Order: sequence, then structure tokens, then C-alpha cells
Amino acid sequence: MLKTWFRRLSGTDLIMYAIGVTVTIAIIWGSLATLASGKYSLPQWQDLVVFGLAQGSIYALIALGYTLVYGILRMINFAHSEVFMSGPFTAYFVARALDQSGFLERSPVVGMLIVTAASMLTSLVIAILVERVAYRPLRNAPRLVPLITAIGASYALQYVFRGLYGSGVERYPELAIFKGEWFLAGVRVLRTQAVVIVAAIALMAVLYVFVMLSKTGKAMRAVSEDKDAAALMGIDVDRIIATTFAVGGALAGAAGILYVLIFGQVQFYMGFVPGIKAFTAAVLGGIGNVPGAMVGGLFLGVFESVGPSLFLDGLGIPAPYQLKDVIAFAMLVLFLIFRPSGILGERLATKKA
Amino acid sequence: MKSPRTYVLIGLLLAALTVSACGGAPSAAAPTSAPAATSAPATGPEQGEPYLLGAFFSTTGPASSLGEPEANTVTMLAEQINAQGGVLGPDGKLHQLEVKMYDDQSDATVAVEVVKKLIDEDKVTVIVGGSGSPASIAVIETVTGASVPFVSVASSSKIVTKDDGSQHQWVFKTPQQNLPVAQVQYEWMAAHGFNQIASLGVNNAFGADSMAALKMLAGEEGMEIVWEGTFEAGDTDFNAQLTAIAGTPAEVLVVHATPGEGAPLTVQFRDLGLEMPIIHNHGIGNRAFIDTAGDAAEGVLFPIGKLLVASQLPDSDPQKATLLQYQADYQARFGKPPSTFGGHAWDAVMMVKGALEAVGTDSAAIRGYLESEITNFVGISGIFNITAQDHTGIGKESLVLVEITDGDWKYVDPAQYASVP
Repeated sequence: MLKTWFRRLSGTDLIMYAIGVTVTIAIIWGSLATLASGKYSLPQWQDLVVFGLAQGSIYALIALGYTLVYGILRMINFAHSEVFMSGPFTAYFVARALDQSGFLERSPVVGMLIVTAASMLTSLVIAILVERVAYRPLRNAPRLVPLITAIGASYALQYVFRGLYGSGVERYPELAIFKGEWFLAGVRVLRTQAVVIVAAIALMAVLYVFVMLSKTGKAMRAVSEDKDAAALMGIDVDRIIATTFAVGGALAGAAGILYVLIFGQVQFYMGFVPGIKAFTAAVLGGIGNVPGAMVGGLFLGVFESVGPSLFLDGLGIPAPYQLKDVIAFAMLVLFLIFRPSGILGERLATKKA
Repeated sequence: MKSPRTYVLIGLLLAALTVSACGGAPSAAAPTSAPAATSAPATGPEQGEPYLLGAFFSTTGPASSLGEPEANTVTMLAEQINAQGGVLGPDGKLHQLEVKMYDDQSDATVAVEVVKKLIDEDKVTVIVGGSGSPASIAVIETVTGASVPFVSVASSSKIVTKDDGSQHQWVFKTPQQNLPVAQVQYEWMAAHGFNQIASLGVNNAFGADSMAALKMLAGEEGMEIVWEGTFEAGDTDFNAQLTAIAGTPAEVLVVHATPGEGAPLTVQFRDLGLEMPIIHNHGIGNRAFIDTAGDAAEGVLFPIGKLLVASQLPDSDPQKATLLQYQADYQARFGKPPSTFGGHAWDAVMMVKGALEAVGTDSAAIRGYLESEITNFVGISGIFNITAQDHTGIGKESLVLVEITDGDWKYVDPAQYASVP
């Protein structure tokens, strides 16, 4: 057994393992050095973890959109980052109108629910539109073709929204109810962070129940297993695909409002980085796998938040915080090499790809 | 299998892409000339040949928020000068000022091309412009090679200063250096008795220059930079940096940024509940910062040129009248208040106007005038005293400390430093 494994070992494998071992050692070494230096206190680590969880739950919600679509169509919807942007950017005008009329001040909870609904609805409509215009006509084309139109659709949407709303940065009205902090077992949690985490988990739970228990969810899973067989069983495949895009879009719209709660501002380019991070999260969790996207998002958020301080600082890297994105994308590459199936997922290479 | 409709849709997408990719890139070939001799004065000096002024600004692209007020100011000044008959040259004749103006599209390569065009085709003998530091630095070689004086409106010290500390012979600039900005910040810190600082800046030429200035002066000011960090232009999340700062003994946070990152950074700084005061540099001196940071901007301090708070300056300030006049003229002509950047262009054009009046259009003579005759020149960015050793000519006294209060800029008298924020 061990003998055959040795015989099969090629030069490339050795280099790969060497990279893997080096990265692992660097991470452990850096972490130990940082912890030994005592540069960060326990409350600081807690702050970083909580922030990572909040950011990660936003990634997770967006990642669900990638993963749902991949599960059914085996394609990456690169326009999803713009679906995410379209919601909060449009809802900004609703929020501003509510703010100017004083309604948002009087009943902030109802007001925010209206704003969230506007955001989810916009993203949902945009997602369906993208599917109808850019993907459905190419359903039977080679798999590279919808990927190209996805990138085209992404840019087209970005510039359509820039044209509609302008290229400036817009600030959402600030609400008093989201100010301040709570302490949970001694850990400080900002109110916005708490709202983000709770809302995201609730939405994910609703989605999970929907996919597992509802009739439409069952049909979605059937289409994901085998489109042709599902069609033979009387499932309207086009309708189910459109529904999938709609669900993913609505979640992205909700994620957009949560993003706004933390960062407070919107602009036409805001979707790109969170979108690509969420895609990374989807791959980390195992693309096509719904719980995987949730785990991947949270994992990426925390890793990215804690990582620079934990192991880059200790390695003596002069500008650790800027390497946050490097950590995220390096992890994407490492996962694709060493564990393409993701944390919870199935094997990409063998079964579906 | 594929319907014609599919191709139409793909075509539409491609068209949208092409349009967006080419958007905002008009040809640089057509210069926009300021209105030249329309009405000759009936009496007074004889009318001579128009004087040419070369100008290039980033009126499109990422630096357009700088280039637009600059180009506007040049247009406005040329109109004003020509309405009075023109520039009274050393030959005793009035010369209309003809501005040859180009857009460098916020691209240093285009800047070099248009400067070559200004020199070779338009035959200008003096040039103002270069909205961004990269564009200004890129054209140093061209203007030096052609022996044409160039007055830059961008701020990097590298525009006028060579690595050995001497000045580029043909290049001058009107904005402040970063060093005096740090000096004002230190004066304010000294008034509070602070001596431990956290310094956080954007990782580009602007942030690095400003951070280096702060660091360079720390020793002689008796201050210690206990934490230093950077972020990337375009970042929205500063949680890791701010959390790290919270754990240091720093008494004040100094930020080196423009509103794009400076505003969300300040919002997160307040959200995290950090209690130390926050002081920015001159990079946040426009409305966008207050608009996007909202309540978080309250109590933010930063040193900047006097234009923002001109009306609040004490009447004894020698620049006050000039500043108010420029504000009123710009507001009347363009319907909005001018920015500090437009002020840099004002200084450049008015210095060149002085040179044209004194020595005419000879490039070498203009250069000589700029280097030796600009003394106590009351401008918008400061009171200039240019010498062969200093092609900027303004220092700390050209700056004031400003506090953001009730969504507006408030002038802080140096005697009051200890009581703000």
C-alpha cells in the first residue's frame, strides 16, 4: 500500500507537498511568534473574530447564490456580484426618501424592513433578468459560452447602474437603533454585527428548510441531479432554474443591506470584491453544496479577519493588513489544489465538472 | 438551434461593454482655446500678438475631481485677463492671453504626449498643469529637454526636488509639500501634550510621502510613532488595523488618506468606540468627506490651505482678500464654490501672468523671473517666496488647522489648539 503510493509519487506532487508543508509551517510559526509577542490582547482577538463572523455571514449569503446556480446549471454566475450591488444601491433611494420624510426616524424597524424588501426585490428581478437574457438562450451552448456572457453581463450591469445612479459614493442614513454595543458572555459585539449575524443565520435556515422540505426545493434538487429525468417527471426545468436565480438574487439583496449596516455606503463598484470573496467561500465550502457555502463564508470571514494579525504580523511582514485579500485568494488556490471538494463538498473533478 | 435573437442579445452585451470601455475618453487632439481677441479696447495701449499659455489637466478619468476645478480656474482667469484687454507686455502693447488646453485623461503617458504637442506644434513658451503627481513627474524630462518652464499644480515633493535635494531647473509647483502638513499636526499634538502616535495611511505615493514626512519630523518634535500601518486604495474594511491600534498606547491617530477611504475609515473608527482623537491630512479637504462620513466626521481635524475657511480667517490675514475674491469669482462663473485644487491653478496662472508682463514670452526669461522674482507673492495656496533652492516657495504658514463641526469646516486659531476637538 505505502509502496505503491511512493511509486506513484511524481516530481510535481513533491513540489505540491513542499508548498503545502511550507505554508503550514509559516502559518504555525507566525501564529506562535505573534502570540508569544503578546502584541494583541484577548478582547482584541475577540473583536477580530466577531467582525470576521459578521463579514463571513455576508459572504455566506452571497455564496449561496453562486452555489445554488452551480448546483443546477454547473456554471459560475459571475454577474452575481452585480446582482448583489443592484439591491442596496437601488434601495438607497428608498432609504433616503424614507429618511427625508422622517419615517425612518419614527419607525426604524418597519422602515428598514421596507428598505430590505426593496433591495431583495431589485436583486431578485436583476437575477431573473440576467438568467433570461444572458444564460437561457445559451442553455445548450458549450460551457465556456455562458461563462463569457456572465462576465459581459457583469460589466454591463455595473455600467448600467453607474449610468443610472452616478459614480459617486452614497451614504445610507444612520439609525440610532443600530448604534452601540452589547456584551455576550464578556465578548463585545457591536449592535450592527449582532443584527447581521442573526439575520444571516435566520435567512440561511429559511433557505435550508425551503430547499429540503418545500415542493419547489425538491424540484430544485431533482433538476440538480438530472435535468432530463426531471423534465420527464413533469418538472418545468426553465421555471425551476428561474426560481433558483430568484432565490439567490433575493439572498444577495438581503446580504447587500447587511453589508450596508456594517459599511454604511454604496457605489456602483461595491459588488466586485465581496462577490469574488463569496465565490471563494463557495469553493471553500464545496461548490454546489448549500451548507458548504454557509460554512465556507463564515470560515473565510474569520480567517481573513484574524489571519493578518495572527500569522502575518508574527512573520515580520511590514504591511500585513493589506495582505488580507492575498490570504483569501491564496486559500482559494490551496483548496483547489489540495482539497478541490471543499470543506463539506463533493469532488468537483470526478462527479460533475 | 440558436435563434437570431440570441445573436442580437450577445451583440447588445458586447456593444454595452465597448461603450463602457471607451466612455470618457474623448480624443486629446482637439485643444479647447479660451476665447481670444473678441473686442479690442478703443483707447489705451496698442494691441500686440496674443501670448500663448500651454495648459494640461486631468479633466476626465480618476483625477478629474482635481482637474475640473483647475481647468475651470484657468479658463476663468483667461477670460478675466482678456476682458481687461490682455497682458500688458514689456513692449508696452496689450496681448490677449490664448490658452492651449488639453486633457491628459489622468494618464501620465497621455500627459507626456500632450506636453510634446504643446511644445512642438502649438509652440507655447510656458506651461501650467499636471493635475496628478504622476503626470507632473512624467513630463519633467520633456520640459527640461525643450527648456520650457513648467508650473505644476500637483503636490509630490518629487516634482521639483531631485534625489540629491537640488531643484529641477525648469519645474516649479504651487501646492504645499507634505512636510509642513506634519508640522501643523505636531503643533496641535504638542498643545495637547501628546507624544505617542498611531499613523495609518493609504499605500500609494500620496500616503507614503505623508507618512514619511510625519516619521521624519517625529524625532525632532519629541514624538514617538508607536504604531504604523497601511491599507490599499479602494479598501472599505479597516477593522483589523483599528483593532490593532486600540491595543497600543497611542494617544492620537493620524490618517493619511483621501475621502474614498478616509470617510469609511473614520466611520469604523467611531463605530469601534476608539476614544483617542483622529487627525487627517489635507487629503480629505473636500465636501465628499463630510457627505460620506456623516456624523462620524464631527470633531475630525486636518491642516489645509486657507481657501476652505477663507471667510473665517482674521481680517489681518494678508491672503484673505485674494481668497474671498477668487471664491466670489468662481462661484459667479461656475455656480459652485472653488476647491483647493483650483487655487493651485490660480497661483500658477497668476505667477506666469506676472512673468509675461515683466519679460514677455522668452522661455529662459520666464524661468528666470519665476525663480528670482516671486517674492511675497500673495496667492491662494500661500504667500510664495520662490528661490533657486526652493521651487515651491510656501511652508507651514500657508496652512491652517480646520475642525469639522456641524457638518462644516471651522477655522481653528493656533491659540485654541489645546481645546479642539
